[in-house]
Amino acid sequence: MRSIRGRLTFAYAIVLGVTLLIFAAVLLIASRDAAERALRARVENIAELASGLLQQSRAAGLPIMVAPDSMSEELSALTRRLLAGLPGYLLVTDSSRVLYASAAVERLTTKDQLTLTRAVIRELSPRHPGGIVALDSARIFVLANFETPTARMPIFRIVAGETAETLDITRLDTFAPIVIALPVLFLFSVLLAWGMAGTSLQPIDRLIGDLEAIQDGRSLHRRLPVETDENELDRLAGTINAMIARLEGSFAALRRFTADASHELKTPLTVLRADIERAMQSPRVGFDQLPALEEALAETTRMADLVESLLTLARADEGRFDIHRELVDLGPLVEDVHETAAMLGEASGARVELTALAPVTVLGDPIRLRQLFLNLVTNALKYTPAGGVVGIRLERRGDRALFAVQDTGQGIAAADLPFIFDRFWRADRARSRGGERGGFGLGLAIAQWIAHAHGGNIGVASRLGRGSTFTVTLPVAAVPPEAAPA
Amino acid sequence: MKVLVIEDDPTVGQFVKRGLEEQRWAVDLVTDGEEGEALARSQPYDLVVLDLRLPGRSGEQVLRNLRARGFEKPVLVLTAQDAVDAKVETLRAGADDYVTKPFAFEELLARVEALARRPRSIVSPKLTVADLVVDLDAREVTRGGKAIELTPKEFMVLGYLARHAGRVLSRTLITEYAWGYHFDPGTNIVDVVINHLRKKIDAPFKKKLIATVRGVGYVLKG
Repeated sequence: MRSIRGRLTFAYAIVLGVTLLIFAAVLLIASRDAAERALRARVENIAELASGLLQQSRAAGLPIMVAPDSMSEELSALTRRLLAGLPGYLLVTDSSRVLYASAAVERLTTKDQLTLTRAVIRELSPRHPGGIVALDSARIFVLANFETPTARMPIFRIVAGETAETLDITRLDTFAPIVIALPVLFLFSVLLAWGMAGTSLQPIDRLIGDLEAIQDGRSLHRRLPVETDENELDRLAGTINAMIARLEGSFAALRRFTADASHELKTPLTVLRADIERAMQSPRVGFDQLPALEEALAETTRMADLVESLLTLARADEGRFDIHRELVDLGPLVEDVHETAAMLGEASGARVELTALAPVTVLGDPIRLRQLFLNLVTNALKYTPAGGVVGIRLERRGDRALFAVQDTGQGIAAADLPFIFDRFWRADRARSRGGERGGFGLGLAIAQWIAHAHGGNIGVASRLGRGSTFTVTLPVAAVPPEAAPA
Repeated sequence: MKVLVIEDDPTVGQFVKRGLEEQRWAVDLVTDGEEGEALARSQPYDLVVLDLRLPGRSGEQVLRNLRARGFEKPVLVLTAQDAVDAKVETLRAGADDYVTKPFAFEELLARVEALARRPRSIVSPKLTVADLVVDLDAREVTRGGKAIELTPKEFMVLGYLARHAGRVLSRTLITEYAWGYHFDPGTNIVDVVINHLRKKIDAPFKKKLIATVRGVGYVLKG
């Protein structure tokens, strides 16, 4: 998950998960401990009961041992009955034999009985704290105890036990609640954390939305709302506002510069132009002076055009696509461009064909659109050798108008393609047809600006040696055809 | 017809004044905004040509003041700003039209004439050079009574030459007139148009009307 919200929630989930696991482990260890102590107490209790039983019986003078034959003695039937009243696993032994085994022990398999007895006799020392004997059928917790002997009595050893199943983690009282409650708790907390992260990030989302609305270049006078100065986000908004103010200031400065430059550069050109035009009309001027004046006029026009282009691009940099808009029927416009192109082709020896002319109307500035089309056409002719063909077509593709100029010129190297719409970029001078002056390398940059300002696009496909195709697409005006100007 | 030109630059001011006077306008030229405003309100001018950047009182202020005081005659503004918002601002302030600097006199004159709504008789739509007749209204050309078909650009160029018959028109002026600014053809497209015109207008006739002025341009004369 990439978002801050996702990452926050993920980190929270990990910390919470580890905490919950440690907590569960501690709880289980503690409750197992308690269960063990309880079991030990119960077993001790039974052993003490058995021991007390034997002592009481003797004190009351009841026969404990009987000797059915001279070779062996065994517990009397009465004693057995008394001991049978005690629960769990109970063994009474003397130094070498088992004198009594409780019903629970009798129910064990012979092998288990043997294992248990052997463990009791051989491995449990007197006062052994007890432990777990693993049998095939059960795990038994045993605790050794023994009878304090008197001179007349044999030493009895009493061993009591209980199944250790209650010590299994899964059997602990706390286990089920933990297993059920923890995941629920975990899920709930993570969901809550997701929600909280979302809530606390919401102001940032709002901030992003507001900023996106402002940054389009025309809304720089707007500011982000700042309620108080206390929380971090408001401080951030305040800082951004200060930055927007500075941006606004520098954009205003750029606008002022553009206006000043327009005036400062264009006024002398106007003066120059006025002088030249007046001189050309003067009856006193001789025919031999006219070529120089014409040259000066041409240069003034070129200079004015350059200034104009630069100022246009400076405004475009500001993100201001301020163009005049009206319904423009592209058909007559393209026919007009075709006429001009055909004349240019005649001068350079290239054939210009109008291959398609669809009726299509767009919303835009006819002067700029004409400039856009003428720029592409003159550019195509500039790189098409004599005998070549330049094709112009105007089509409608869905809700887009498509104007394309295809030439059979030298094409553009793939490495150059990304740069051709850059300012002052020109194909290698040596490769363009010599003998005449090139442009300033602003034609395609201006063309791109005009296309973008109309909400359209400009693209080029080219193969070196085969020629290029420049394509302009413009959104078609959303008007019924009968409302369009004829 | 009287026109007041308020323009602080003497060269541009004189250029406009002389040009308009040649077209039989009576022209007063002032270089100061305040003075211009006072003059416009006291004298009966038919039209005001106003530069937007003036020392003292700005052109825009002059314009607003004039309009606020009920000045109703057309005002043509000269401006260096060609951004759409600047133009819109000018029109909102009360201008009737604008010409962006640098301008060709031909364009200024066309706009002045359009604004002043001169009677048709003065701007004759039918121009005659020898036996060539160019009807600007009907867009028809005849020579010796025979109709001649021209393409739109050919007609524009011929119309321009005919209107200034006898005057040498340079290639740059012709290009600007027929194609406007922002058009740098790179080749001499004017020569191509003139070639077409010669084939249609001069070739079938003995008397040639279009003459070449080497290194400059062309002249149409009878």
